[in-house]
Amino acid sequence: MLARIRLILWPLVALAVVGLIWLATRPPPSPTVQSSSELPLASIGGAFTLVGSDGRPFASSRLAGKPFAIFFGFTHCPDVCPTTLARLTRLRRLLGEGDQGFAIVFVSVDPARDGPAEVGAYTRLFATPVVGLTGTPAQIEQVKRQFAVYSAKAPSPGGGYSVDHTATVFLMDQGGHFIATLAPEEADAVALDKLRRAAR
Amino acid sequence: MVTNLLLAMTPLLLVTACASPPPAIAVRNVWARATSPGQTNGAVYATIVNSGGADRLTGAASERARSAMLHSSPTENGVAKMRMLAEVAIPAEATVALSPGATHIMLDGLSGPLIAGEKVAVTLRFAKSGPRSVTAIVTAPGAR
Repeated sequence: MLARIRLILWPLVALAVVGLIWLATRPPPSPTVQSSSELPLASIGGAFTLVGSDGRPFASSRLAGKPFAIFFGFTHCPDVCPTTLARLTRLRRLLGEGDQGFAIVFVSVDPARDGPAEVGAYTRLFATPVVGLTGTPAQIEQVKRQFAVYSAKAPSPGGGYSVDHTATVFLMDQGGHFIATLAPEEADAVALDKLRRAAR
Repeated sequence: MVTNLLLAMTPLLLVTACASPPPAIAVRNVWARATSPGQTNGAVYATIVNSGGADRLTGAASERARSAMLHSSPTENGVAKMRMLAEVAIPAEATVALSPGATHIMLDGLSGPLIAGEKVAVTLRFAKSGPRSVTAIVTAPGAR
């Protein structure tokens, strides 16, 4: 009887030894798994230079020190763009830290029609500070690449054109690092939570 | 006998089925966002309450703009677009909202910027109910 139990146990012992050897010799878990998932986040944003509503160069370093919400649009956009900017001004009011809560940055993706004067007049409508930026077509293309923003002209029946563009708002922390996106359809409570996180 | 009676009634039944009640349209809460001096266009929003049969919104006009068009602003895959609509269905017993970021009336070729507090006369054209004159209140851009 005892011999039969031994006969069954020995293979189990052998299996345990093989398992221990495998555990001791296998390569450590790859550290690249985590960093590869962070890479796309880290690549959103970065330093840029555009043109301010005063017609002078505007370096992104001027935004350092508080979080900012950056949105790409165009001034001949009667619905989505003012609706988004109005929402951001409302969220800043709800956050309750005044204009210091976060900066609101509007970048035109239609530099052919939007000069400094146009973005200036457009952003001044909101009766609260909104940074309006434009630039040369090359500058705009560069900053669009940095934020992975899409835009394309869409001809209108009347002969003019509208611009299809990424509707996402990018939320950056006080160091200019990407924190989160704000989607048009998400509730104010969700957006406020992200904004509080950006301010930390 | 019953079959014959039903057959004889068929035209009558068809007529009854086709004669839907007339629409009863009320246009409420008409507003527009103020625009900047450089902007050539603006958007008008409204709530259309229909307590009768189905109708269609087929167009709009305003003396403050060269043209007025029905537009939608769909966001597809994160990209906002703006497209002209031929008409907007107003189903029976339904409320249709023309609202920010969605269906709206675009005023194109504004005669001047829309100023907060201003009242803008807009005519909405319905397929069955005909033209309706409404007044849009211009609100400050950040007000809503």
